[in-house]
Amino acid sequence: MSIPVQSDVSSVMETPNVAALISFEDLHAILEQVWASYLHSGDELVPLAAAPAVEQISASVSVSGAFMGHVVFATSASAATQIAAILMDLPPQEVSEDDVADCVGEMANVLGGNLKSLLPGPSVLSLPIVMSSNGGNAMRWPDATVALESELTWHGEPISVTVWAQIDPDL
Amino acid sequence: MPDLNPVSGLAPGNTAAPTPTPGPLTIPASSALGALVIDDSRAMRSILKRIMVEVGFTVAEAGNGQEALDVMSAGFIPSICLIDWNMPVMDGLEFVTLVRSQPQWRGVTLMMVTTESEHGQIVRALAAGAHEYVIKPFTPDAILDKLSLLGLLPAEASV
Repeated sequence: MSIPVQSDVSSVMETPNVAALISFEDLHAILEQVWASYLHSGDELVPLAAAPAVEQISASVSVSGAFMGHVVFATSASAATQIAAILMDLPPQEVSEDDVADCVGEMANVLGGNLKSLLPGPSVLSLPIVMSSNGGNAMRWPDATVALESELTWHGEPISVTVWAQIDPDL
Repeated sequence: MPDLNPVSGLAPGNTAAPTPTPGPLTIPASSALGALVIDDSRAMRSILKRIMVEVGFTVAEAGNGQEALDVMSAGFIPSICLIDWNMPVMDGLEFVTLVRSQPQWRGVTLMMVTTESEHGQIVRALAAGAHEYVIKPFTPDAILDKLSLLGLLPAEASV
Protein backbone atom coordinates (compact mmCIF):
# COMPACT_ATOMS: atom_id res chain seq x y z
CA MET A 1 0.00 0.00 0.00
CA SER A 2 1.37 3.39 -0.92
CA ILE A 3 1.42 6.12 1.69
CA PRO A 4 0.04 9.52 0.67
CA VAL A 5 2.84 12.06 0.68
CA GLN A 6 2.66 15.80 0.23
CA SER A 7 4.28 16.85 -3.03
CA ASP A 8 4.99 20.36 -1.75
CA VAL A 9 6.10 20.54 1.87
CA SER A 10 5.55 24.29 1.98
CA SER A 11 1.86 23.96 1.23
CA VAL A 12 -0.82 23.60 3.84
CA MET A 13 -2.98 20.50 3.74
CA GLU A 14 -5.77 19.78 6.17
CA THR A 15 -8.16 16.92 6.45
CA PRO A 16 -11.61 18.20 7.35
CA ASN A 17 -11.96 16.29 10.59
CA VAL A 18 -8.73 17.59 12.16
CA ALA A 19 -9.15 21.10 10.80
CA ALA A 20 -12.54 21.26 12.46
CA LEU A 21 -10.95 20.41 15.79
CA ILE A 22 -7.61 22.24 15.68
CA SER A 23 -7.27 25.57 13.92
CA PHE A 24 -3.97 27.14 12.94
CA GLU A 25 -4.70 29.72 15.62
CA ASP A 26 -4.95 26.91 18.20
CA LEU A 27 -1.71 25.37 16.98
CA HIS A 28 0.15 28.68 16.99
CA ALA A 29 -1.25 29.61 20.40
CA ILE A 30 0.11 26.37 21.87
CA LEU A 31 3.48 26.88 20.14
CA GLU A 32 3.72 30.44 21.41
CA GLN A 33 2.81 29.31 24.92
CA VAL A 34 5.57 26.70 24.87
CA TRP A 35 8.05 29.24 23.51
CA ALA A 36 7.09 31.85 26.10
CA SER A 37 7.21 29.36 28.96
CA TYR A 38 10.47 27.62 28.22
CA LEU A 39 12.55 29.56 25.69
CA HIS A 40 11.67 33.17 26.63
CA SER A 41 14.34 34.52 24.29
CA GLY A 42 12.26 37.40 22.99
CA ASP A 43 12.57 36.07 19.45
CA GLU A 44 9.25 35.45 17.78
CA LEU A 45 8.22 32.52 15.64
CA VAL A 46 7.67 33.80 12.12
CA PRO A 47 5.62 31.98 9.46
CA LEU A 48 7.78 30.51 6.72
CA ALA A 49 6.72 30.22 3.09
CA ALA A 50 9.07 27.41 2.09
CA ALA A 51 11.08 24.94 4.14
CA PRO A 52 14.79 24.97 3.29
CA ALA A 53 16.52 21.59 3.04
CA VAL A 54 18.73 21.42 6.10
CA GLU A 55 19.73 18.76 8.56
CA GLN A 56 16.62 18.14 10.60
CA ILE A 57 15.97 16.82 14.05
CA SER A 58 12.44 15.47 14.39
CA ALA A 59 10.52 14.10 17.34
CA SER A 60 7.08 12.54 17.28
CA VAL A 61 4.49 11.44 19.77
CA SER A 62 1.55 9.26 18.84
CA VAL A 63 -2.03 9.73 19.99
CA SER A 64 -4.00 6.50 20.40
CA GLY A 65 -7.65 6.23 21.30
CA ALA A 66 -10.70 8.04 19.98
CA PHE A 67 -8.27 9.90 17.73
CA MET A 68 -5.39 8.02 16.13
CA GLY A 69 -2.49 10.07 14.83
CA HIS A 70 0.93 11.56 15.40
CA VAL A 71 2.36 14.98 16.26
CA VAL A 72 5.81 15.81 14.90
CA PHE A 73 8.08 18.63 16.02
CA ALA A 74 10.99 19.30 13.68
CA THR A 75 13.72 21.88 13.46
CA SER A 76 17.30 22.27 12.23
CA ALA A 77 20.23 20.85 14.13
CA SER A 78 21.32 24.40 14.88
CA ALA A 79 17.99 25.48 16.34
CA ALA A 80 17.70 22.20 18.25
CA THR A 81 21.06 22.93 19.87
CA GLN A 82 19.89 26.44 20.80
CA ILE A 83 16.69 25.04 22.27
CA ALA A 84 18.61 22.45 24.28
CA ALA A 85 21.05 25.08 25.53
CA ILE A 86 18.18 27.20 26.85
CA LEU A 87 16.23 24.32 28.38
CA MET A 88 19.29 22.68 29.96
CA ASP A 89 20.85 26.02 30.93
CA LEU A 90 24.10 25.07 29.21
CA PRO A 91 26.44 26.90 26.83
CA PRO A 92 25.63 25.71 23.28
CA GLN A 93 29.09 24.19 22.90
CA GLU A 94 28.43 21.94 25.90
CA VAL A 95 25.15 20.56 24.53
CA SER A 96 25.43 16.87 23.64
CA GLU A 97 23.49 14.87 21.07
CA ASP A 98 21.65 13.23 23.95
CA ASP A 99 20.69 16.66 25.28
CA VAL A 100 19.33 17.64 21.87
CA ALA A 101 17.33 14.42 21.56
CA ASP A 102 15.95 14.84 25.07
CA CYS A 103 14.88 18.44 24.51
CA VAL A 104 13.39 17.96 21.05
CA GLY A 105 11.53 14.94 22.38
CA GLU A 106 10.16 16.97 25.26
CA MET A 107 9.01 19.71 22.90
CA ALA A 108 7.05 17.09 20.95
CA ASN A 109 5.65 15.72 24.19
CA VAL A 110 4.41 19.11 25.41
CA LEU A 111 2.99 20.08 22.02
CA GLY A 112 1.40 16.67 21.57
CA GLY A 113 -0.18 16.71 24.99
CA ASN A 114 -1.73 20.11 24.41
CA LEU A 115 -2.96 19.24 20.93
CA LYS A 116 -4.40 15.97 22.26
CA SER A 117 -6.60 17.97 24.60
CA LEU A 118 -8.29 19.51 21.53
CA LEU A 119 -8.97 16.15 19.90
CA PRO A 120 -11.66 13.58 20.64
CA GLY A 121 -10.89 11.54 23.74
CA PRO A 122 -10.15 9.52 25.65
CA SER A 123 -6.74 8.83 24.21
CA VAL A 124 -3.21 8.22 25.38
CA LEU A 125 0.05 9.83 24.33
CA SER A 126 3.10 7.74 23.50
CA LEU A 127 6.62 8.46 24.62
CA PRO A 128 8.46 10.59 22.03
CA ILE A 129 10.52 9.17 19.19
CA VAL A 130 13.38 11.32 17.85
CA MET A 131 14.97 11.09 14.43
CA SER A 132 17.67 12.99 12.61
CA SER A 133 17.64 13.34 8.85
CA ASN A 134 19.36 15.29 6.12
CA GLY A 135 16.55 17.41 4.75
CA GLY A 136 12.94 16.54 4.13
CA ASN A 137 10.58 14.78 6.47
CA ALA A 138 11.93 11.24 6.88
CA MET A 139 9.19 10.18 9.25
CA ARG A 140 6.33 8.18 7.82
CA TRP A 141 3.63 5.97 9.27
CA PRO A 142 1.60 3.32 7.46
CA ASP A 143 -1.98 4.33 6.73
CA ALA A 144 -1.48 7.89 7.92
CA THR A 145 -1.47 11.24 6.17
CA VAL A 146 -0.47 14.79 7.00
CA ALA A 147 -3.56 16.47 8.39
CA LEU A 148 -2.15 19.78 9.53
CA GLU A 149 1.25 21.34 9.01
CA SER A 150 2.78 24.67 9.94
CA GLU A 151 6.26 25.87 9.07
CA LEU A 152 7.90 28.91 10.60
CA THR A 153 11.31 30.36 11.37
CA TRP A 154 13.04 31.17 14.63
CA HIS A 155 16.46 32.87 14.65
CA GLY A 156 16.31 32.38 10.89
CA GLU A 157 16.09 28.61 11.39
CA PRO A 158 13.16 26.45 10.35
CA ILE A 159 10.58 25.22 12.83
CA SER A 160 7.64 23.03 11.87
CA VAL A 161 4.82 21.16 13.53
CA THR A 162 2.92 18.45 11.71
CA VAL A 163 -0.14 16.48 12.77
CA TRP A 164 -0.53 13.10 11.10
CA ALA A 165 -3.88 11.31 11.11
CA GLN A 166 -4.64 7.67 10.54
CA ILE A 167 -6.62 7.11 7.34
CA ASP A 168 -10.06 5.71 8.12
CA PRO A 169 -10.42 2.60 5.92
CA ASP A 170 -14.21 2.93 6.08
CA LEU A 171 -14.21 6.27 4.24
CA MET B 1 34.48 28.45 58.57
CA PRO B 2 30.85 29.55 59.05
CA ASP B 3 28.16 27.20 60.25
CA LEU B 4 26.49 25.52 57.34
CA ASN B 5 22.77 25.24 56.90
CA PRO B 6 21.90 21.62 57.73
CA VAL B 7 19.29 21.58 54.99
CA SER B 8 20.99 23.22 52.05
CA GLY B 9 24.59 22.73 53.06
CA LEU B 10 25.21 26.42 52.37
CA ALA B 11 26.68 29.14 54.54
CA PRO B 12 24.17 31.59 56.10
CA GLY B 13 22.93 34.12 53.59
CA ASN B 14 24.20 32.12 50.67
CA THR B 15 21.25 31.48 48.38
CA ALA B 16 23.25 29.98 45.53
CA ALA B 17 22.35 26.54 44.33
CA PRO B 18 24.15 23.61 45.93
CA THR B 19 26.59 21.70 43.79
CA PRO B 20 24.52 20.25 40.94
CA THR B 21 23.68 16.60 41.31
CA PRO B 22 24.69 14.55 38.28
CA GLY B 23 21.42 12.74 37.64
CA PRO B 24 18.91 10.17 38.81
CA LEU B 25 19.43 8.29 42.04
CA THR B 26 21.63 11.00 43.50
CA ILE B 27 20.33 11.38 47.00
CA PRO B 28 20.84 14.67 48.86
CA ALA B 29 22.06 14.46 52.42
CA SER B 30 18.94 16.01 53.93
CA SER B 31 15.30 16.08 52.92
CA ALA B 32 13.90 18.63 55.37
CA LEU B 33 13.13 20.97 52.45
CA GLY B 34 13.46 18.35 49.81
CA ALA B 35 11.87 18.03 46.41
CA LEU B 36 11.95 14.97 44.19
CA VAL B 37 11.62 15.80 40.50
CA ILE B 38 10.38 12.80 38.52
CA ASP B 39 10.43 13.10 34.73
CA ASP B 40 11.98 11.04 31.94
CA SER B 41 13.15 14.24 30.25
CA ARG B 42 16.45 15.54 31.60
CA ALA B 43 15.54 18.95 30.21
CA MET B 44 12.32 19.05 32.20
CA ARG B 45 14.10 17.86 35.35
CA SER B 46 16.68 20.60 34.81
CA ILE B 47 14.01 23.30 34.46
CA LEU B 48 12.08 22.15 37.53
CA LYS B 49 15.25 21.69 39.57
CA ARG B 50 16.36 25.25 38.84
CA ILE B 51 12.98 26.59 39.97
CA MET B 52 12.99 24.55 43.18
CA VAL B 53 16.63 25.24 44.09
CA GLU B 54 16.05 28.96 43.52
CA VAL B 55 13.52 29.00 46.38
CA GLY B 56 15.59 26.89 48.73
CA PHE B 57 14.75 23.26 48.12
CA THR B 58 17.29 20.49 48.03
CA VAL B 59 16.43 18.51 44.91
CA ALA B 60 16.78 14.86 43.95
CA GLU B 61 15.92 13.59 40.50
CA ALA B 62 14.44 10.41 39.10
CA GLY B 63 13.79 9.38 35.50
CA ASN B 64 10.63 7.38 36.23
CA GLY B 65 8.37 6.26 39.04
CA GLN B 66 10.46 3.22 39.94
CA GLU B 67 13.63 5.29 40.25
CA ALA B 68 11.70 7.71 42.45
CA LEU B 69 10.56 4.88 44.72
CA ASP B 70 14.18 3.72 44.92
CA VAL B 71 15.28 7.21 45.95
CA MET B 72 12.62 7.41 48.66
CA SER B 73 13.28 3.86 49.87
CA ALA B 74 16.94 4.79 50.18
CA GLY B 75 16.01 7.46 52.70
CA PHE B 76 15.27 10.67 50.83
CA ILE B 77 11.75 11.57 51.97
CA PRO B 78 10.91 14.80 50.15
CA SER B 79 8.42 17.45 51.17
CA ILE B 80 7.08 17.37 47.63
CA CYS B 81 7.32 15.23 44.52
CA LEU B 82 6.87 16.86 41.12
CA ILE B 83 5.67 14.07 38.89
CA ASP B 84 5.39 13.65 35.14
CA TRP B 85 2.64 11.31 33.94
CA ASN B 86 3.98 9.57 30.84
CA MET B 87 7.26 7.87 31.69
CA PRO B 88 8.80 4.50 30.87
CA VAL B 89 9.07 1.69 33.46
CA MET B 90 6.58 3.26 35.90
CA ASP B 91 4.31 6.16 35.03
CA GLY B 92 3.32 8.98 37.32
CA LEU B 93 -0.14 7.67 38.14
CA GLU B 94 1.21 4.32 39.32
CA PHE B 95 3.85 6.13 41.37
CA VAL B 96 1.19 8.29 43.06
CA THR B 97 -0.91 5.21 43.81
CA LEU B 98 2.04 3.32 45.31
CA VAL B 99 3.21 6.25 47.43
CA ARG B 100 -0.29 6.78 48.77
CA SER B 101 -0.46 3.11 49.77
CA GLN B 102 2.55 3.51 52.07
CA PRO B 103 1.71 5.08 55.47
CA GLN B 104 5.31 6.17 56.05
CA TRP B 105 5.05 8.48 53.04
CA ARG B 106 1.71 10.00 54.03
CA GLY B 107 3.30 13.40 54.60
CA VAL B 108 4.75 13.70 51.10
CA THR B 109 2.92 16.20 48.91
CA LEU B 110 2.40 14.96 45.36
CA MET B 111 2.10 17.39 42.44
CA MET B 112 1.59 16.21 38.89
CA VAL B 113 3.49 18.26 36.26
CA THR B 114 2.38 16.87 32.95
CA THR B 115 0.99 17.48 29.47
CA GLU B 116 -2.05 15.36 30.35
CA SER B 117 -4.77 18.00 30.42
CA GLU B 118 -7.96 16.00 29.86
CA HIS B 119 -10.43 16.51 32.68
CA GLY B 120 -10.75 12.75 33.20
CA GLN B 121 -7.01 12.34 33.62
CA ILE B 122 -6.83 15.18 36.14
CA VAL B 123 -9.65 13.59 38.13
CA ARG B 124 -7.85 10.21 38.04
CA ALA B 125 -4.64 11.72 39.38
CA LEU B 126 -6.38 13.63 42.15
CA ALA B 127 -8.44 10.56 43.07
CA ALA B 128 -5.24 8.51 43.27
CA GLY B 129 -3.84 10.95 45.80
CA ALA B 130 -2.16 13.81 43.96
CA HIS B 131 -2.58 17.14 45.75
CA GLU B 132 -2.01 19.50 42.85
CA TYR B 133 -1.82 19.45 39.08
CA VAL B 134 0.26 21.63 36.74
CA ILE B 135 -0.13 21.35 32.97
CA LYS B 136 2.93 21.78 30.74
CA PRO B 137 4.03 24.21 29.47
CA PHE B 138 4.37 26.08 32.75
CA THR B 139 6.16 29.19 33.88
CA PRO B 140 8.25 29.35 37.07
CA ASP B 141 5.52 31.52 38.59
CA ALA B 142 2.94 28.78 38.00
CA ILE B 143 5.06 26.33 40.01
CA LEU B 144 5.69 28.89 42.76
CA ASP B 145 1.98 29.73 42.94
CA LYS B 146 1.20 26.05 43.51
CA LEU B 147 3.92 25.77 46.17
CA SER B 148 2.43 28.80 47.88
CA LEU B 149 -1.07 27.29 47.79
CA LEU B 150 0.33 24.09 49.29
CA GLY B 151 2.12 26.06 52.01
CA LEU B 152 5.46 24.76 50.81
CA LEU B 153 7.03 28.00 49.65
CA PRO B 154 9.81 28.95 52.05
CA ALA B 155 8.95 32.23 53.79
CA GLU B 156 11.93 34.08 52.35
CA ALA B 157 11.08 33.09 48.79
CA SER B 158 8.96 35.53 46.80
CA VAL B 159 6.47 34.62 44.11
